Amino acid sequence: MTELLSVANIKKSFAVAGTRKRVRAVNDVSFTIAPGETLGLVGESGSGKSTVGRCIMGLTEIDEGQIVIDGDLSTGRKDGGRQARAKSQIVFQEPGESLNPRLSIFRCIEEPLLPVNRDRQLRAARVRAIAEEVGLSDELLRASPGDLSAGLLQRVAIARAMVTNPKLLVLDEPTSALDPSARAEIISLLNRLQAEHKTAYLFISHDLNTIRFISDRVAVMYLGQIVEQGDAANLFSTPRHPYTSGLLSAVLLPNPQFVQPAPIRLEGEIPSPIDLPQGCFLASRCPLADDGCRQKPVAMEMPERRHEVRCIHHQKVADMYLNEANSDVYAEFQNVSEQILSVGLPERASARQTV
Amino acid sequence: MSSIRSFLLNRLVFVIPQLFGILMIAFFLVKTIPGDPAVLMLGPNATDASVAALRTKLGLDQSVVQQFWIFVTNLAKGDLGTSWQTTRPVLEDLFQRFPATLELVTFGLLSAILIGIPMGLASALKLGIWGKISNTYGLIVGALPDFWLGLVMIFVFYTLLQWAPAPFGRIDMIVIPPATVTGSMVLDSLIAGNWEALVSALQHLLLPALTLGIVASGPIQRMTQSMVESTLDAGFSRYQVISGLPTQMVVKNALKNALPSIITIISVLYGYLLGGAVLVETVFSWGGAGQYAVQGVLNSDVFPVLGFVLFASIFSLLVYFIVDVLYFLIDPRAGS
Amino acid sequence: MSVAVKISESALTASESPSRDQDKPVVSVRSLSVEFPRLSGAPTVAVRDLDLDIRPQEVVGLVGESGAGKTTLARSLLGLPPSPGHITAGRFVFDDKDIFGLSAEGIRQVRGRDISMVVSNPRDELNPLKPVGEQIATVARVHLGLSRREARQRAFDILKAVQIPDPERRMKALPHELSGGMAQRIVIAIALVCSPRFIVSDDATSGLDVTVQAQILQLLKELILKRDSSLLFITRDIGVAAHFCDRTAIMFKGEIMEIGGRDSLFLTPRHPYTIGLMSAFCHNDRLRQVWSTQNEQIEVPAGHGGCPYADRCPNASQTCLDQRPELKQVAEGHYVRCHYEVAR
Repeated sequence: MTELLSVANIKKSFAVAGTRKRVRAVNDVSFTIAPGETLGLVGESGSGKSTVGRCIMGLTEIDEGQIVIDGDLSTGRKDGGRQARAKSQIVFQEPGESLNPRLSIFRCIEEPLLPVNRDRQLRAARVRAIAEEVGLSDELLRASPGDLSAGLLQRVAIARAMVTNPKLLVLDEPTSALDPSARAEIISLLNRLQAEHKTAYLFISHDLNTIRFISDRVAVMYLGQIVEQGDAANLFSTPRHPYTSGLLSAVLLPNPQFVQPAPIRLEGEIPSPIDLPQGCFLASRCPLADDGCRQKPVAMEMPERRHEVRCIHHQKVADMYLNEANSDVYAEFQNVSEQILSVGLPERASARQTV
Repeated sequence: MSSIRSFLLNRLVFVIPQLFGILMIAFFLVKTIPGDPAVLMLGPNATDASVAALRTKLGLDQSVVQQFWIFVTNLAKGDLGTSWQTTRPVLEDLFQRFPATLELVTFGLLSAILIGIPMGLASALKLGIWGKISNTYGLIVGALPDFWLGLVMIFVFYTLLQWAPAPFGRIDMIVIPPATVTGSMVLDSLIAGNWEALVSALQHLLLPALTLGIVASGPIQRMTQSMVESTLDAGFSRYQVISGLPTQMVVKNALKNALPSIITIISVLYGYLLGGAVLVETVFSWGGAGQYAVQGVLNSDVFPVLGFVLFASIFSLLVYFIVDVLYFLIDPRAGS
Repeated sequence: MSVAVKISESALTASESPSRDQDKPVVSVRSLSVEFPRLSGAPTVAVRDLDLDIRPQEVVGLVGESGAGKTTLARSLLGLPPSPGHITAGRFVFDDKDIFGLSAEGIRQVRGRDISMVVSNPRDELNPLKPVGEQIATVARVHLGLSRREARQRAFDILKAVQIPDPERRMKALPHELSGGMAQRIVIAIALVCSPRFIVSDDATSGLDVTVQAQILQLLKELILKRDSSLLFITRDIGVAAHFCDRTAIMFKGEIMEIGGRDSLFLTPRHPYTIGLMSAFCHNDRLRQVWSTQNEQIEVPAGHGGCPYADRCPNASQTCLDQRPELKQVAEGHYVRCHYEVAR
C-alpha cells in the first residue's frame, strides 16, 4: 500500500431530535490520499464534507466502513484508533474558537506535544522551531489569542497542528473566514510546509478557486456522496458530472472577460439529506435527468485514468466541454492575470526575485 | 397541536415521582427538628407512662422509614394527618388557609410585575434619569430581606404616617367578612358586592403584598433589562431599525421576544414568594397557610408542615405547567 | 453564469446610452467622514472624505477587506453609523434631498421606503418568532400606509417577484424553517417591498453557496433594472464585482483608492493595492509579495497624514508620507488615489 489515508465505504447518519428520521450526512464515501498529496474536498453546505473530515479525525464515530491512516485502522477499537489519529491533525475554520483564550500562543502550540514529549526543554525548542516556520515572532508567542488577527490566528492553528509532525493534516475550511490577502498568505504557507515536510492534506472547502489552486486532486461531494473525483486541472477543465459543471459555471474570476462555460444550469437548492432520492441524488435539479437516472442508484465509473464519476450521462457532459474552444479557463486566467499584474512591476521586485 | 398534547402528557407522567421525592426529603428534614410532640401535647405534668402510650398511638416508637410509609399510605387515602394544635385534619385547615396565602402571593407577584417590567424597560432603553433610577433600584431591591422590609413598611405607613390599617389579619375586625366562595377576601367581597369589605380587604392586603412585590420586582427588573437589551442588540432588531420601522414597534417586538425568559423568572418567583410568604404572613399576622406551617415547625406539629410543603409543591408544578403552555403560545418554534 | 453576465451587459448598454434624466446621479455622496471616538487620543477615522455618485439602474461595487470601512459607510448612508461612530462631515444628496439634514423622524421614513439595505446572515436578521410574510407586510404597511390586507397582498407579490416557490405557504413560514438562500430572498423582499430607488447590499451573498449566489445575483440585477433602482454592492469578493457591477470602487482604510468601469478597472488596474488584491486572488505569490508586503525601504511613522497604503506599497516614497494623494482621473470614468500610479 502506497496510500497514506484510505477511506473505504464510510457511512454516517444522525438522529433528528424528536423524530425517528435520520439525517444521512455521509453515504458510502471512498477515497485515498498518497503521502505528500493534497486532496481537495469540495461541496456546498449540507454536502457532508465536514463530517467526512471529522470522521477521519475520530471526532465523529462512523456507522459503517473503514478508515486506515498509514497502515493503522482508525475505526473500531478505541486504542487502535488513537494510534492512527496520532498521525493526523485538524485545522478548523474559526481559529479563534478552537484556541483556548486563556493560554499564551506558546502554550496553545505546545499543548498537543504534552502527552507525546515529557522534556520541557525539547518541547520549547520544537514549539519555537515550528513557530518560526509559520512566521510567528517570539513576541507573538507571548501574546494571547485575543490579541491576534484572524490571519495570524490561523497560522497559530497550523503551527499547533504541525507541531507533532503529523503525516496527514485535515483542513476544514481553513481560509473561508479570511480576507483575500490573508487567505493567499495561508495557502502559500501551506504549500511551503508541504514541500518541506511532505505532509498530506485533506483540504475541505466550498471555495472552488482556493481548491483549484491548492489541490493535486479534487473530490466533489453532493448529499453525502462523492459524485466526481480526479486530477484538479483535468476535473476543472473537463468536468464529467452535471453538478461539478453547475458549480464551476457559478465561479466568478476577477476578470470580466473570463466567463466560465455554462452548458448546464442547475435548478433550485440542495435538498434535505433526510429523505434521499432512490436514484441519482441530483436528478431533481439536473437538466439531463431521465427515467434511467431516477430509477436506481448510480454507480461510480472510471471513464479515463484517475477520473471517476457517478453519472450515467458523463460523456454528454464531457463532450460539452470538449467542444469549448478553450476549456481550461483557470490556466488561461492565470496567464492573463500575470500579464496584467506585472505591468509597472517596481524595481524592488526584480531585485527580490534574484535573492 | 398534537405535539403540545404529547409534551404535556409527558410532563404529567413525572408529576407523581416529583411530588414523592419532595415529600420524602421534607419528611426526613422535619423529623430532624428536635422536640417530642407527645411531651408537648401532654404538657409538663404528664407521666412517663402516658407519654409512652401516646407515642405508641402516634406511631412515634417506630422507625422513621416506617413512619414515612404510614404517612404515604394515609396520603394515598386522602388523609394528610391531624394537627395536634388545632385538633383538626390538616387537609381541612389547609383548604381554609391556603387561599389567603395564594391571595397574598398572587397580589404580591402582580405588583412585582407591574413594577419590574416597566423599570426593566426604562433601564434597557436608557430613558435618562428613569433608566438610572431603575438600574439602581434593581440592584438594591433584590438584596432586601422580605420580613425586614415588612417591618419597615409597618413602621412607616402604620406607626408614623397612619395611612395603613393595623397589621392584623386580612380585614377590619368590625367589618363583617363576605361569605367564602373563592377564599380570597378581595374576590369574595366583589362577588358579594360588599364594598365596605372590599375596601378594608384591599387596605389590609396593600402592605404585605407590596412587601413581597418590591422584593420580587428586583429579579424581574434585571431579567427584563438584560433580555430586552440583548434582543434590541440582535440582528433582527437592528434590521427593523434599518427598514425604518418606528421605535415603539421595534421595542414592542423586542419585548415580545424577551417574554419567554421573563415568564420563566416570574414562574420561579411565584414558588419563591410562597416560601417568602411564610415570614411576611407572620409579620402581618395574615393567618394563612404560611403562618400555619411556621406554627407547626415551632411546635413539632409535623403534619401541617408536610401538608404545606405538599400544597406548595403542587402549586409550583401547576405554575410550571402553565408556563410550558404559555411557551407554546408565544414561541411558534416550540415543539416543531 | 452566462445568464447573469448577459443581463449585466444589457445593464451596461442601458447606462451607456442614457437619456438626459438617466445620466443624473440619484445618489451623490460628498466628502463623507465617519469617526469612532477612542478612550484616549485622536478618533479612528472609519470613512474619510468619501465621494460617490450612482446613477439610476447602475450597480456600483465596493470592494475591500475587513476594516476598510465598508459596513460603516453602508450604515451611515441610512443615517445609522454603527455605535459609537458618528458622521463628522459630508453631505448625502439622494433624489435632490439632503438626507443628513433630515430630522430623525424624517430619515426614518426614508429608510426602508426610498433607501433600503440587504444584509448578510439573513437568518439572524429576521425576527425568529414572526412569519416572514408578516415581516415583509409590516414594512409595507408602515411606509406606504396600506391596510393589513393590501400589505399582505403586496408581500405576496414581492415573494413571487423574488422567485420563492409556493409563496402562499412561505408567507406563513418562520425564519428557522428556511434555507440560507431562501432567507436571503426574504431579506431582499423586505428591502424591495416599497420599491426603493436606492439599495445598499452589504456582503449579502458571502454566506451563500456559489450556485445559490449566482441565482441571487441574477435576481437582484433583474429587479434593479425593472424597478429603475440603483445598487451599491458591497463585497469582499472581487470576482463577484468584476462580473456583476458596472463600476467598482476599491476601498482601503476608509478611503476609495481606485474606482472605474468594469473593463477599465479589472483589465488595467492602476493602484498598487488593487493589483495586490488581484494577485492575492489568483494566488500568484510572487506578484502578491511584490505588490503588498511590508515596505522596508522607507521608515513609515505611525499617524502620518499621507497615503494609507504607504506602509505596504512597493512604490512609496517620502512624498507618499507627506501628502495625502487626491483622486485623479487616469482614463474615462477611472480614478486613482496614488502619487505614482501604474502607467498603462
